[in-house]
Formats: sequence, C-alpha cells, structure tokens
Amino acid sequence: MTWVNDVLQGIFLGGAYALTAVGLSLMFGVMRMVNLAHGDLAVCGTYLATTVMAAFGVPLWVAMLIMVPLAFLLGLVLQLSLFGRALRSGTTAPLLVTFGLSVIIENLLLQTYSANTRGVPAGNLDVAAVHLGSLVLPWLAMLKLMLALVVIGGLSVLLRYTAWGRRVRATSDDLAVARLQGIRVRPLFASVTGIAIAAAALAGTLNAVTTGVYPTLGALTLIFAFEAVIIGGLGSLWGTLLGGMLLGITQVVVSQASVPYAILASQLLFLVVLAVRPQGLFGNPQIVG
Amino acid sequence: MSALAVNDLDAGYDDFQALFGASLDVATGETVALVGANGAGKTTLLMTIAGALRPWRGGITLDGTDITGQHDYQRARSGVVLVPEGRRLFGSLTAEENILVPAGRREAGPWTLEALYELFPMVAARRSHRAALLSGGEQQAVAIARALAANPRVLLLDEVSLGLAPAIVDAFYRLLPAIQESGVSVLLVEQDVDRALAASSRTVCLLEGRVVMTGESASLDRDALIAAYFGSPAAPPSAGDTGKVRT
Repeated sequence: MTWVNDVLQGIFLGGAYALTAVGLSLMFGVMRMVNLAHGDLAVCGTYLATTVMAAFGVPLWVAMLIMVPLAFLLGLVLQLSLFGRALRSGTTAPLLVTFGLSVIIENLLLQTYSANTRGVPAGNLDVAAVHLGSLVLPWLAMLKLMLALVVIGGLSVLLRYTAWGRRVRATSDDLAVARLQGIRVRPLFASVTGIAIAAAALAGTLNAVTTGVYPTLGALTLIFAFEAVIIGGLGSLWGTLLGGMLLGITQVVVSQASVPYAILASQLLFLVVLAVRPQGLFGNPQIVG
Repeated sequence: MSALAVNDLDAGYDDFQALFGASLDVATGETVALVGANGAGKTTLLMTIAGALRPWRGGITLDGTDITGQHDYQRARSGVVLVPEGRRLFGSLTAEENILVPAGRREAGPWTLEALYELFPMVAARRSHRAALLSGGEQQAVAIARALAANPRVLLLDEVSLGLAPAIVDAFYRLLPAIQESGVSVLLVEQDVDRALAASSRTVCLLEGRVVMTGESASLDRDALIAAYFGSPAAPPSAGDTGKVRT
C-alpha cells in the first residue's frame, strides 16, 4: 500500500508544481513570451506576504488576501511598462528583459531581506494531515492541489466562455488581425500577466510555508515550473497540470528508493520528454481544449 | 460628403515607398473598386486606411473627421473595418466566436448575429466548427461576417475572390447590394477587372503606387483601363508611368 501513498503524495506535489507553473504556461500560450523572472516574482509575493504579516500582525491567509491583488497589480504594471515593449521589439528581447529583471529582483531581495532563509509562519498548517489507513492527506498539499484545479479550471472556463477569453484567444491566434478587429491588445495582455503573477505569488507563498523563503529561491522555482510547462506541452493549461503531476509522482516514488536521486529522476523525465516528444504531452498550440 | 476620403497619401514599408500621393473617396453606401497589377499598392492602401500602416504623408477622413492619427483598433471601432487578404480568421476559434470577437465593441446597427446568419446561411450551418477546418468559401464568408459584425461605416474588402471557385465568388458579389443598402460603403480590391467594373459604381486604378485613372464604372473605357492597369503606351496622358509594361 505504501506505493499508493507515494503516488498520492506525488500528485499533491504535482499540484504545487502546476499552481506555480500555470502563469508561465498562460503567458507563453497567449503572448509566446517566456518569463524568466517568473520564479523571482513568485518569491517577491512570498516576501510581501511575510512583510504584511510582520507589519500588521495578521495571519497568513489575511496577508495573502492583501498580497495576491497586489501581485496582480504588479503584473499589470510590469506588462504595461516592460514586457509589452519587449514583446514589440522581437523574440529575444523578452528573454533578455526578464532575465535582467530576475537578476535585479534577486539582488534587491538580498539587499532588503539578507540571504537568510525566512520562515512563513502558518500555525500548524504545514504539519496538519488527515490519516486514512496508510494514506496521509496533508492539509497544505490538499489546499495547493485544490487551488491548482480551481485556478486552471477557472482560467479554462474564462478563456472558453467569456468575451475576455474570446479576445485573448483571438489575439493569441493573430495579433495584427485582432487589432484590426478593434481589440486593444495592451490592457488585454496586462490582464493576462496580472493573473499569471498573482497565481505565481499565491503558489510561491504556500510552497514557502514548508521550505521557507530566501532571495535566490526563484531560480529553483522557475526550473520546476518550466519543466512542468514543457512536459505538459507549451501553452496548454491542463497539460501543465499533467506535467506537474508527472514531475511530482516521479520525484516522490524515486525518493522512496533513493532520496538523492529523486530530483535527478524528475530532470531525467524532463529530458526524455524533450527527446521523445518535444512538443510536450498535450502538444497542441491552443491555450484550452 | 464622402464617407471615406483619402487625401494625397504616401506610405510604405521601412525605406520602400509603395504609395505616392494616392487620393480617393467613397460616398455613403457606394461601392468603389480598386484595381491594379500585382505590387501596384492596392493592399498597402487598404492596410493604411485600416490603420495597420502609418502613412508617411497625407490624411484619411471618415465622415469628415480626420482619423489619420488613430490606431488600428480605434479605426475599427470608428467604423473602418478590413477583410484582410487571405481571410486570416482566428483559426482556433469557432466560426461564431470569430464573428463575436468584435461584437463587444459593436456599434448599434443592422448587423446582428441573426442578420449575418441570414446573409450567410452557410456560416450558420457551420457556426460551431473551428474556423481553421472550414472550406475556403466558408472562411471567406466568416471573414466578411466578422467585419460586418462591427457594423462598419466603411468595409474594406481585399481580394475576396482569391483562391475561390468562380461560382462562390459570384455568390459573394450578389450579396454586395444587400450590404450597401444597410448604408455601408465598400472599397474593394479585385484582380478581375470585369468583375470590378460590374460590382462598383466607380473604379480607381493604381499603377506603381499612383492613382492613374478614376471614373464611373459604367462609362469607363475598358481598353483605356486595361492600358492604365499595365501602364502600357496606350494609357491616357494622365497616366504616370507611360511606356512601361508591367506583367
């Protein structure tokens, strides 16, 4: 029965990876933009949440209610000021700009908060769990998996059934013609980036409840998010969920045999997918469906 | 007053000038045909009117209002809508979703979804199919319906007959009067001179970026138009580049 529990823990871990990666997937699917500062922006959200908690003495969930809308606003501002300009200047500019942003963020965080790992106090949320026979259902992991499903499912519904979603998909298909049909691309892209950064900040903060947070955590966050996106298929939100699950399951199952090889195994899975099916498992260029 | 007036327009791409002082006007509910050889600047002119290209010089007015400074998306909302060459539908959207894209921005007007389905029954039948999977004729119908859905003042049609069977092209041109009657002005680019003359009240001929001939389609001397089209020596003295034959 332990392997059933292992797979279950892998699915939970995968939910966390997917929630972290969904914004990366969304931005690529809509704008064909790879945001190398994705992980660092998630970490910014975490520091913001801890700062709010310390300053106002409020619990984590209240701090997150304040932090997530601010992360959305940060995404809006970044898209309007930096990313939009970069996108209009060719395909390499967004990579260079977001790489530069990543370096700036990490160093600003080092200056402001020092290199020490900070805990994210959340009561006993990081250890509380329901036990069903040999199965362990940790509350925090269940929360992250549920949020991943809500965010991905909610985005899919918005993209498929609302006028906003129709405009996003039309712009993703053909930007020049979308503009000629009266779509204003700048605020539309700003809303997409806002959602992406808000989801990343939400995921980053919940992950940090277990691991703590330090200024260079963003690079590691980015790698796993990136792998989930690639394994699932670039630009497919449900693919990203599946990619995260496969990464998580591989990591947890292998760790039962050998802990040091667990991370290696998930990287090998990524390489195998790249070699065998480079378009990803859901190798379909549409954002939903 | 003209619905659309283009005054002395210069435009081009980077350091390549494609239009030299082009002027034309389209009255309310009128159809004007734009003819010319490949590379004469027809598509460039439509793209400049639609706002995808910034003119280097000259101006564009819609119902007397200067729209030269407006962005492409603003022009679509003001009522200048382009049906681009090659249709360029949103391939991953269904036919109906394509038509609904400009709908949130639509002006009140006669072209509701129901009216469009009445005009194009073949689109109604395929409304829930993905646009990329439709036939060429169906895609063209969706492209025109998508443009009409914005209830435009001026409809710019860029080679709607390209790559379509003659019978389907005939069907499109039979719908043109219904579109005109709703008060829409049409500026259409057409390779087939006879079709252009038959469908329009006036015809404008472009040669190497210059307007070389304008006239009433019904009374236009077809031979003179063909000469202006190719810039051959038989062209009237008003033609710019006499003596050159373009193929």
